[in-house]
Amino acid sequence: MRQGSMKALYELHSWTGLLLGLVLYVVSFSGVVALFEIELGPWERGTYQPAYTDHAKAADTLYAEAEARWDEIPANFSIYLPGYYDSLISLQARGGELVLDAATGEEAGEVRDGRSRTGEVLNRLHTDLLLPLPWGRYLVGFFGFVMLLSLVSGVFLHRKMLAELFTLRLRRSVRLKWTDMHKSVGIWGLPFHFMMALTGCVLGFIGVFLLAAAFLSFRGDAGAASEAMSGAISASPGEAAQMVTPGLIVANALRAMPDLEPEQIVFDGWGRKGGLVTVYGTVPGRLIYFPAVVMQGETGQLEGIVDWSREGIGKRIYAMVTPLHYGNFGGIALKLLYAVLGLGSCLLVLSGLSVWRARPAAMASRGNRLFLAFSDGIVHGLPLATAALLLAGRLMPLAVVTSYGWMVAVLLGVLCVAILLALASASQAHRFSGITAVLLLAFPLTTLLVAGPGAFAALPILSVDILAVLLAMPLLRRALRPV
Amino acid sequence: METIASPIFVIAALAASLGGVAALAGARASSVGGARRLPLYLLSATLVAGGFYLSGRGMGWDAGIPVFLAFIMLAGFGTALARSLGERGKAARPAPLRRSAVDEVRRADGVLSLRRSAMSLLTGFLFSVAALFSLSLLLPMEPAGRAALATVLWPIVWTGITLWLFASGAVLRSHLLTLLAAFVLFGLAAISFLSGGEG
Repeated sequence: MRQGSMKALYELHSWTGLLLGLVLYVVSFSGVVALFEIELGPWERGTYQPAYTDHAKAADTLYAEAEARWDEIPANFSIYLPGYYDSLISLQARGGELVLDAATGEEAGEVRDGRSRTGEVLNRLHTDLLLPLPWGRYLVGFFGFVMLLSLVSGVFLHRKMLAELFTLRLRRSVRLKWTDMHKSVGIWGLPFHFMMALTGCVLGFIGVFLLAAAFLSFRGDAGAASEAMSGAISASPGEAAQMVTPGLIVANALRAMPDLEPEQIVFDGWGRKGGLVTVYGTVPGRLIYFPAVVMQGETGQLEGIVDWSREGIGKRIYAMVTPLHYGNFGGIALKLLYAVLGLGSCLLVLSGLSVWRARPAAMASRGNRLFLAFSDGIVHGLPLATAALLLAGRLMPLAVVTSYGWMVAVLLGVLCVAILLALASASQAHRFSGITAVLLLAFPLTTLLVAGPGAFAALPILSVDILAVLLAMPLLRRALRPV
Repeated sequence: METIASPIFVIAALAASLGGVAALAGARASSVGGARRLPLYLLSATLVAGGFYLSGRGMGWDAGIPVFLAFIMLAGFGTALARSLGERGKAARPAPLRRSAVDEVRRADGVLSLRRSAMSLLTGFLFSVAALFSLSLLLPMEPAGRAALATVLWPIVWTGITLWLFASGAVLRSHLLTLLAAFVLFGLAAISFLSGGEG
């Protein structure tokens, strides 16, 4: 490649890294934590009920309870089934909601109302940067594109990639150390970084471009486009008719798709001739886009199976996007693998910033020094704010933890304090590490305080506490022995 | 807790991937001649292929391929890190004389070419949208598949064109060429849409 082109690419790589690297760090780090939104549920609540797997029986119990309480069951409603980390089952319709504990059959409205919004805040930090929808989603999609630009330009710049595959000189100059680290994490993690950036960009803009593409490819037939892309089959309900039980629907869905782990049942035209019921779920081990089984409500007979992974190449590739991005196709072990690789994405951004910081000219101007202090605040403040948010979700009053606005205020408040401290005085990194470590070490103490020692018997709660202590150790070491 | 794999296959796949990457590192670090390194390269290829097979066999190909790639990524970085830490007691060798590609490039003068960046982004965006529209009308597959594939390809097209525009020497010519191509694609899409025929 020409010298001028290399220079242009170097500039592109530099400005994407410098101007947008911090946002990519926030998106990557929050994504790592948000991966475990469901798994953190029992720890946040301080209670855990063993997995309830008899979905058919649970759906029947819930439906019977709704019939007994409500004057009339609406024609369109949904049932959300219990999962491994949550034993609640709920029926949601336009007119109201009924929530039961699937294991006991007792109403759980109060328990549900008292749940913290921590997971939602972390999830929305990753998907929308806490900005209003849909603009936040588009912005994060744009950052996915910026990451793609940065990755591909980095590949072109690093022409000795194969020769330096195992080069990592940690005991030389600071700049060489970070340069090698940046290259090594970049090269070895390239497939993951690329996949995450691409799928993130697609998911960010899906609301605009998939709709536009579908509208065009169906030659302007918006109804056909919407039906084909959502995979749903619309019901044409007629006069009143006797329906089968929801439990039979679930049982038949599992017969039609044995690997399906049902999560949601959508009733369309229930109680009417031609009414349809769709069972959505996941299929572990498969890259599959919202698999669903559609059945007739009147007979419980199969109407159709939606499984894009078994269709044409276009749909099959698209079906991979969501599961590949969220890592929800291989259980908790795969999520842990994703978390490690996601931290690699954070390290890629941080090492890039450190290379820039190690330049002799980096500290020359006041603007540069302010930028570096600000980046220190973000980099060290975000883990601290996340740990604080998780603790706040357990310890703060109910009115605070159930309010999305308050929980956002907790996260941003801690982050802002960290940034201000970093701007006020340089070299705060070891202090931030120390405070984060202390907060993480407080996790098991809050389990004792909130849920009592019996809670440690539940593996999903105990594993979060153990992980917090393990994560605290290197941070504590860094705090006590600052570089 | 849901599990999708036989643990023995997962452990074997991880071990094979790690062994394959370590053998590759050994071959590259070896001071012997090219032909004598061949057994190490062969061993590396065999172990990596074994890791690939074991991942797919144990977890199914949908999950197995991403997990295999994750194992290779972690094994690669882990090997580089272990080699680096292993050099603790050794005297620091002088840095290799070769210079990285980045060092060969004259450093940017500090002024970011924001106008050029913005132009490349916008022109690239326009072309990618034109490509999205024409692909969703003209790809030889059923309509939903066309729309889905075009949506996945769109960011790749945007990235590729933006980088090309950025790196191109003849800035004006490449922008004009891209804009012309975008209008041709928009025209093709419009003709196909209005004619109502299948791609």
